[in-house]
Amino acid sequence: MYLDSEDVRNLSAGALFNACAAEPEWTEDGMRRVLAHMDMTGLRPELKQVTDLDPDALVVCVGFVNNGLSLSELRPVGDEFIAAIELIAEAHGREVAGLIPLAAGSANAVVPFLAGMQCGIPVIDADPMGRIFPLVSQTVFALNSLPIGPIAAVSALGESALLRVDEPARGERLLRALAEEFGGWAATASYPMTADALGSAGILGSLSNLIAIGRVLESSRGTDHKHSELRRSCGVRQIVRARVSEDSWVARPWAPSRVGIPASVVLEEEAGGQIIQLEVQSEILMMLSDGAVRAVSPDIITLLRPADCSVASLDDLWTGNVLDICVLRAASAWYTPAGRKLGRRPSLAMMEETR
Amino acid sequence: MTKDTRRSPGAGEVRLADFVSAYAAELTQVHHLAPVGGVIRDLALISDIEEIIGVGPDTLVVLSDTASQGDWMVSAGLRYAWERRAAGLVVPHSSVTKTAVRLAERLGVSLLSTEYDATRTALDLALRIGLTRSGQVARLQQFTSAAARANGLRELLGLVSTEVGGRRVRVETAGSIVFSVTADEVELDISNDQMSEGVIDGEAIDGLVEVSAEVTGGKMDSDVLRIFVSPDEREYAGRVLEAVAPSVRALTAEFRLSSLTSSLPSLTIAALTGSSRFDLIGEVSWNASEAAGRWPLTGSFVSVCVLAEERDSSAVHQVWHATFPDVPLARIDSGWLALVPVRAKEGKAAVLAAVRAGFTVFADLDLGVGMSDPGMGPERVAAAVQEAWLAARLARSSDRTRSKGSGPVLEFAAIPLGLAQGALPRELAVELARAMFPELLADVEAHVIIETIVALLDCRGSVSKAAQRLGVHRNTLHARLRRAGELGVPLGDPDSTLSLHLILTGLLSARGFRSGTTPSAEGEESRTDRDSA
Repeated sequence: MYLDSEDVRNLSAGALFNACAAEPEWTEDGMRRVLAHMDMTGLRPELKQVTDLDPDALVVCVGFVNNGLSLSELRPVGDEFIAAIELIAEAHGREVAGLIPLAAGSANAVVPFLAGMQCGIPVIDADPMGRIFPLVSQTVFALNSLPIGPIAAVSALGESALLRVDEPARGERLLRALAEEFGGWAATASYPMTADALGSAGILGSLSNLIAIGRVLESSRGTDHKHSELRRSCGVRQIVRARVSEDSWVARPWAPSRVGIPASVVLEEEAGGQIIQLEVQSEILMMLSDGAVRAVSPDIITLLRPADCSVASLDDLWTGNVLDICVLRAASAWYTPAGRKLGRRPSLAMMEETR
Repeated sequence: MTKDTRRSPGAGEVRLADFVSAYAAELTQVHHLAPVGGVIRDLALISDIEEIIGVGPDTLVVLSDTASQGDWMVSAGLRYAWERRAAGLVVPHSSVTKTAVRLAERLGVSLLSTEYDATRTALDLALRIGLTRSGQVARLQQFTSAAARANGLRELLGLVSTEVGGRRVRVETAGSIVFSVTADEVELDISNDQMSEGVIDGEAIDGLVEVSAEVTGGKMDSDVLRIFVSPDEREYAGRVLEAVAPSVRALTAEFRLSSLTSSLPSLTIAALTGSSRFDLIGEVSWNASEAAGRWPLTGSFVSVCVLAEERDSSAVHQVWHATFPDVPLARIDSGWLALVPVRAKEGKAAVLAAVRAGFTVFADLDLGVGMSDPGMGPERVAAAVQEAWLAARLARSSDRTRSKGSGPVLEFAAIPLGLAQGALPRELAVELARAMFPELLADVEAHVIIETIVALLDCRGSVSKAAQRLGVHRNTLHARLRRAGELGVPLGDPDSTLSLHLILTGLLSARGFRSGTTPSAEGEESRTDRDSA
């Protein structure tokens, strides 16, 4: 299927929804680039099912990898992913037949649609995370022992690197180092594999799911209707309306690279007055109600604005603001013992296992 | 009021509030002290947040620095403390936020903080808890010593009340409050070793928990010591009650015995017969209103009377003690009396069964045991005693009760009609008749008239049947009855019918009774005073 501009906007909204309130700017920027390219070329991004490809067709993940900090002000030129895809094709000696995003959330969910139009390659309705995780090694491909490399990494300045590495965790470390050297981020193509392997190991249907979520969020219906639709058809399990408390933000030096980032936000549940706490580390990791853990990563915890059900971000957590906190389950692979082990945040390990 | 069913008191524990104020003030800072709970039985140092899952109730939890790094850890710690009824949570001072305090207040969990190293704090707290616990044991021992020196039940219960913050202390039997007292009441009237008048039990018990201790464990209902205290006082109060239970048992029995013996009526024959002419032979000493303040039973009771020879007294006491270890047996002329509490759900049948089971061994002895109908309150005691005495007497004099396998025990409600005739001892019948019917006894036709009256009463007032029984004409019978009326026999008074029947039946059976003589139980004939004159 080919996406129209409304599909792209819905995709962007769904990607923000799945981003657990992470920074929205790059997602919106990515959406605008896709729409601009569509306007300029008259092309439309193509979304295919993995079964539409030849089983031996080469598929690759594309996405930004940063250096661990927020994405910098250094914006992409626009051809970085073209170069990365070409490097992978050269390395394999054959063309890339399909692209998948590195994550089904945030900016990376939109990236393959622009790159796909630029390279004439369809996007496959699948991804390796089903949500977003901070590490490129936290994928279902890693769970299935698929190699991460060779990895192609390209900077905004045109510098590129081909990393011949198999181990996802090692690839993660090398990419972070490269991203640092590349000015804060790198456009990457990784996890090259056959369509058959993707069909076996990947999380299928995740992009059409994002579009479906976006369709609900972007509709003209009222918030209550949207909430019931999210519950009914999008897997949302809890929606808690709460007001950001006066003593809301508590910042703690959680990790060396996270100094200054708020670690805990306190809200008061509107109906019952429960004390809601959100643990935040660049995304919302955990929600507690009166000290009891109600959701914890890999659950997807995200924020909506009650007025129009638009996706809110961490910037909306200002004192007095009322927000709807939504919780939905991640892909089932992340609730297996191996999935929990790979996807866990060390600081939340106990809560993940005791819930 | 809530009934606390968590645990029975006993093990050494320390109240968090007392502990903090007395021993740990310089070590910890209190951010919230829960109004309920807060008993420390154990202490746990949590260095890995996972360990908190294994914390047991009444544990004071100390979170180490690493286990308190995130706000959520303190929140989760409070939640687990709440779910597991921990005594409280101690966290590093730097981890205390407004949210943590709010959550502690919301969950009702005590939250303390310390500026010292968690390990050192935990060790210090553990040491001080141990010291506090030792101090509490010493306090209990001190109280027990004082209780042992108490002069009477009232003073003892006053000491208990003082020990539990002036709360009202109750002694209950068969579900009824026998007496209750507070330290203040004892203090105001310390010289009066009597129970407070009636049952004073107006204590407000909202928000309090019930603590009780069984005083005895006999076959029948045992006494129960009961108080209502704040949840924080629960554990220690339970230990106090258990400590004084043996003393209360002894003093309660003593109190009951003295109350019973001092309040029982004189068993005059007038009281037994219910005659309206009591004044002829003495006043009834029983005064219900006067006895109300001393009355030891507030629930239902029955009177049990044992009539036996003096030589059998030790055996009677032995059986009685085995059957009703908590019920005193009062000595009366030619026997013993007791007032036995009746449990509502079991009724008098349980008491009767216990009496029968106990006294079956006396089937071959000259012994009679009677039990009254159940009653309540001091106003009922005279009637109950009468009933028990009458039943005991019939049981002793009749073989019919024994032939039914009930031993020498007879229940008043089950007295066979035919047995009533032997109820009044001959000597008493003679004595009564002398006092009540002197004109009748002096008459030359007294024997015939008395026979006629007894026949009439035996035939339940049927003149025809009585005439037939005596073999006389109805007119003759009527003439004799008219004569009886002229001689002061109250045939027309239904209240006197039973008394009259018993007295005259006894009189007829007295050997040697004849008209114009003064009858005697021994069969001696003597002239009446009137005849002599």
